[in-house]
Amino acid sequence: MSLAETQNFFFDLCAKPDVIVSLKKNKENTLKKYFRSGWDREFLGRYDTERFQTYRNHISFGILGGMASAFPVLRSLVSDQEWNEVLNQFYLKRLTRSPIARHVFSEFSEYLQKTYRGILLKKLPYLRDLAEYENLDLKLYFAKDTANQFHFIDPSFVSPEEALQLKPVLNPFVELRTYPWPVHKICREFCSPKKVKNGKYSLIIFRHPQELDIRFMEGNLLTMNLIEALRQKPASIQEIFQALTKKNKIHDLQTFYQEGIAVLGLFLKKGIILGYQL
Amino acid sequence: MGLRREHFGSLLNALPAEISWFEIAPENYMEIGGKVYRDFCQLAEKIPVVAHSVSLSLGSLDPLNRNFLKQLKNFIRTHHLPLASDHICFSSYQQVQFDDLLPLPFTEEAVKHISKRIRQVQEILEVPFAVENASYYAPAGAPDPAYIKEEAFISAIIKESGALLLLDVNNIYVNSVNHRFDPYAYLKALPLDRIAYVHMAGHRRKKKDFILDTHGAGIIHPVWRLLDELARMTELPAVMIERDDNIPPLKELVTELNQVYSILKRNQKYHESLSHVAS
Repeated sequence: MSLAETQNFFFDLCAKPDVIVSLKKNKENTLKKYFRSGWDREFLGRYDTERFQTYRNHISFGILGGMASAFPVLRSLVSDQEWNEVLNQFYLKRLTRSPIARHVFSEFSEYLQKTYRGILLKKLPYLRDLAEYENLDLKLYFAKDTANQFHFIDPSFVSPEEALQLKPVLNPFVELRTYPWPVHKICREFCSPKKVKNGKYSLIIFRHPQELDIRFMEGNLLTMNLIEALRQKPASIQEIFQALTKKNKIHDLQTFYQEGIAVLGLFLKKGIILGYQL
Repeated sequence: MGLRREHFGSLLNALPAEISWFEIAPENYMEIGGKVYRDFCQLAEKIPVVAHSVSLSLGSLDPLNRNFLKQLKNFIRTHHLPLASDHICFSSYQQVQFDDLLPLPFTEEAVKHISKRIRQVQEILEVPFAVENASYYAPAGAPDPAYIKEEAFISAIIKESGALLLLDVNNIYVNSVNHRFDPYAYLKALPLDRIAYVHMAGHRRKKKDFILDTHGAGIIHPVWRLLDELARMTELPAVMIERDDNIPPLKELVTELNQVYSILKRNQKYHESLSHVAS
């Protein structure tokens, strides 16, 4: 047998479920499609189909196991049958190019966002958003570290005027999302579409700079805008506040500054900003 | 021992004296940051680590994934890994990656093809490279007219590629049951002087004549016996325990490591007595 014959056979065996069905029905005919030599066909024909099926099972069970741990909430909301069905549908369309196994999780999330049209969307109208949220958790958890070394200033050691000139440094592992569903609250006890209300839910999702676990905070107009501003080029607190008050046409500057300073303090405590620089 | 994330906590707390090096699947630690990477780096600073890949797809007809190899090389350099390895198999075809080790036919064509690619990988990685005998459940076609047996196939690859042999004793046992051959005769036919190190693992018996290579159970007596025989045949550079499923507490794996040490020690005495007689 040639390498090409072999690789065609195992490719189809692993990628196309009908090959197993066909092997079970008529092993000789199926093998004929792949192997020219009668000796090869006879030799392979001596092996139980179960042996061939093991390869496909290994791959699909590997995916099933990995996905369940990567999307724990989503998995907990569907039956075994539903879960296997959606993964099978994904698997049939999946043509992963990456040698890194964990990349399959993003592929699955992307599949649910762009391709999946199945029945689960009726049962779980928030399916796509929940999958995106769970995948984002993984993405942040494994995201490559940045090499930046910062020298931070403690704002309590400077005057309030000087403090306004400090530049807050945003944690590089912060993501902002606004979902139409409260994905951060969904669980087995809170999953019925009757209970889970459609709306606008802003979340700040971030990797804690020391513990390196993934945390979230519910966002509002001020916190979301502030993080957006911090994402731009480094700017002082004063510059950021001035830009935000102008953009949002805020006239009560004193209240805004007080609230803004308090939010920055909260961000620092939570690890959303890393510290302040001159 | 194979490094598992489940053991990071215990290992960082107190590294058992029995563990003198780790094997990792580099795919799990490459191109990442965060907690897993931080914990890995802390361990890699304390103890030698070798890279055992699962996705180089050495036997594939696809071109080598040079981008991935470049990333692997960077990773190896960054962490000063002294050795890299992968399996005698293919795991991708038509650029589609499978998370499994698929068998190659035991033919001259396959020997030449995989050996050439192993040489290329060695040139790129610039560290000693070993290839592992893989388990398989159904063969990739019949032996060719010249009748290359699996052990001859592996020996030919080692010779032609210049690679070292990562000998998986459990895989020999699994294949010997699944394909009905004498594992002791198989051992004798291998280039034992090219062994880089040895894998020991457990498996799951599905039927009398069908074993799944799960790495998910304790090592059974016949596999220990094979290791004993191997250690009698040659002085082994190193032996490790692989456990990828049903991960037990570290203590349980350390008990298996102690069994490895006692086998190696017993056979070392045997080799010493042989050299004493010879001198």
